[in-house]
Amino acid sequence: MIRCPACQHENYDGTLYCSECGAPLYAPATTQNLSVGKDTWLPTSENFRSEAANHEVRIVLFLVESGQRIFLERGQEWTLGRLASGQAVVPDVDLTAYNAYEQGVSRLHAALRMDAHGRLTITDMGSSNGTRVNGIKILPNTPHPLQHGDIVALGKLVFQVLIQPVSTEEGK
Amino acid sequence: MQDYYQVLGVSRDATPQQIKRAYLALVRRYHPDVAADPQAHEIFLRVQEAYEVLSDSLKRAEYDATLPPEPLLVQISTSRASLLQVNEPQLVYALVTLRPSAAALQQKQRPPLNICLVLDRSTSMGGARLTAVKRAAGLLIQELREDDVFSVVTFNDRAEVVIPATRGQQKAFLRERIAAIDAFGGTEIFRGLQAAYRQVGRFYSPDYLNDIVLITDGHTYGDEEKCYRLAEQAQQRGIVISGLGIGSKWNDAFLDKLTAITGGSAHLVTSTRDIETFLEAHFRGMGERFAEQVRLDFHLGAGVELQYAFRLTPDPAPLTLQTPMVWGYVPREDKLSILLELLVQPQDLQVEAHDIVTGHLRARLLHNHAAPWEHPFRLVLPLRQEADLTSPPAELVEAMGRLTLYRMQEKARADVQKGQIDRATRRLERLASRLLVAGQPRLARTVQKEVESLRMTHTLSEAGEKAIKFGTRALITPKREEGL
Repeated sequence: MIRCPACQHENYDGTLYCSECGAPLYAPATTQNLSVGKDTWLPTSENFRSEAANHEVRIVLFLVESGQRIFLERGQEWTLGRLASGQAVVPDVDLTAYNAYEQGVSRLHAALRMDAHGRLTITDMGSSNGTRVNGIKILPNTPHPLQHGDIVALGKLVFQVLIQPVSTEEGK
Repeated sequence: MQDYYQVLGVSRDATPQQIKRAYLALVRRYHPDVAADPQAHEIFLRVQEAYEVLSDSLKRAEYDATLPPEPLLVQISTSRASLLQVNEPQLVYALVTLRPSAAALQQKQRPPLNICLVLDRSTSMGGARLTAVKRAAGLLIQELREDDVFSVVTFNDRAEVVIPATRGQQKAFLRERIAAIDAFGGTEIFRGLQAAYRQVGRFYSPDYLNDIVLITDGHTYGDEEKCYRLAEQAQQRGIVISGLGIGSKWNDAFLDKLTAITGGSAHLVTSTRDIETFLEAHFRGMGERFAEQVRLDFHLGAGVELQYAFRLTPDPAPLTLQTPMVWGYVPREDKLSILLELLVQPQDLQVEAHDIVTGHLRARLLHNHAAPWEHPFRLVLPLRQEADLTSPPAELVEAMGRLTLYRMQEKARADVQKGQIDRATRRLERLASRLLVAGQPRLARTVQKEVESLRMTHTLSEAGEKAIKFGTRALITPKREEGL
C-alpha cells in the first residue's frame, strides 16, 4: 500500500495518482497535475532532500504553455529576463524566444539562487508585472523559497521549476 | 497462416528481450512435458521455429524483408516493468496505441458512407435548437458524395422516417424534407434508434462506413435496456452510434454507455452554434479513418480485475469493461490510444511471468476494402522479489494525470448518488484547486459553484455536472505535441 502524502488515503501498490484526491504518488506532493516530461520522475521529497545534499542537481524550467524545457547551466545564480538592445546588464537566461515581451517579462525580472545546502530561492528584481509562486505574488527584492514542482509566473509567462538530481548513470 | 511474430504474440518492433520473454512463457505452457492438449506439441514446434529465426538478428532481418508491411502498429507500455512478489493487490496501468504504418498510408479516398441522423423532435427541441439541427443537417447534405447513403429519422413518442435510406438523392429534395420537420411530443429514444437501425440496415455492407448519429435534448424513460440491446446488435454488424446531447436535461450516463457499446462517443453542446461544429467534425472525422471497429477480445489472467478502461484519443470516452471491448477507430493522421487500469490480486501469481491480459485485437482496414486485421494482444509481466525502480513511461504518467481530473468528477458524482455529500464536496473542492493549477479557471469556477450547490441543496445541478464532466473530458486530449 502507498499512503498519499496529501490526504493520507491508502492506495494500492503501483497507483500513479491518489484515487481519493488525485495527488500524484510517483513524485513529490508539490508537483501538480501538469504535463511532467520524460526525465522528471523523482523519488519522494524526503529521499530527495538527502539525495540533493549528496549529489549535484540541475534546474529545469518547464514552460507550461508551450511544453518547452529550459535547462539551466551549472551555477549558483541565474538571472531571468529578456535581452533588449542597448541593455547594460544582461540576464543569464534570455527568455525572448519564449514570447517574454508579449507575456510581460521585464528585462531583469527575477533571480534564482541555490545556496550551499541545495535550497533554491527566487527573488523578484523589482519587475513591472511582478512574480508569482503557485499563484501568490511575492514581495520584490525578497528571496522566496522554491520547491521542486512549484509554479512560477513572471508576468504572464508560467513555468514549473523542476529540480533533478544528476546521477552518473544517466545516459540520456 | 500466422507469421513468426504472431506465433510468439509479439509486435514486429519487439526487442530481443521481449521476444525471449514471450518465447519462455509459451514454452512453459506448451512444452510436451507439461501440456496435456494434443495440439500443444504442434504449437510447441511452431514456437521453436519462430524463436530460432527471431532470436537471431541476421535471420530476423532477412525474415522481416519477406513480410508484407504491417498496416497498423501496436504499442503497449505499462506503468511497471514487473510485478512484485507481495501479499497485497497491485495496480498496473497500460497505455495501448495503434497508429497507421507509413507504408499503409497511400489511398486517400474514404469509403462511402451509410449514415443516418436520428433527430429528437420533442417539444423541448422547438425553436432555436431544431432550427440549428436542421441547418447543420443541410450542411452535411452539401458534403455528400454520389455513392453515399443518407437517411434521416425523427422521433418523439413515435419514430418517423423523414428521408429513407437511398443513394445519390437530389440534394434539393433532401433539404426540403428536412425543412418540414417540426417539434412536438415526448422523447422515446428507442423508437428513433430502431427506425435508424432499419434504415442503415437497408444498404448495410461492410464496405460502407455505417453510422448512426443521435441528436437529443431529453431523457428517455424506461427504454434504456432496449436501447442497449439494439446497440449490441449494431456493434456486431459494425454500425457505430454516436450521440449529441443538447443543453442539460439529457441523460449523459445513458448516452455514454449506449455509444461505448458500439465504439462511438457522446458529446455535449450547450450553445446551438456548436451543433454545426459537431456534425462537421464528425463528418470530417469519418473521412479520416484509417481503420475502424477496432476491438479487443480478451481474457484476464488469474486474479486480475479490469478496473477502468478509457479512450484518450480520438474522442475521449469511457469504454465498456466486458469483452469484446470496442475501441473505436484509428485516424489516418493520428493514433488511437487506450488506457487500462488493472488490479492484480496476490493469489495465484504465476512464477516468473504472470498473464495480465491476453487476447486478440481486431479491426477493419478501410484503405484495403475493409479487410479484416488481427493482432495478438499479450500483456505479461515478470514477477520479481524486489521493487521495480524504473520510472513509468512519461506518456503514460501524463495521460493518467489528465485522466485523473476526469475521474475525480466521476467519483464525486458517484458519492452524491450514494448520499455521501461531504465526501463529494471534498472531492470537488480538490478538483477545483487542481483545475486552477492546471490553468483552467473557468472550469474551476463551475466546480466551485457546484460545491456551493451541494452544500445548499445536497444535489448537483444538471447543467453543472455535465459541464464538469465534458469539460474535464476535453482536457484529456493534449492540445499539442510535447518534447520540443
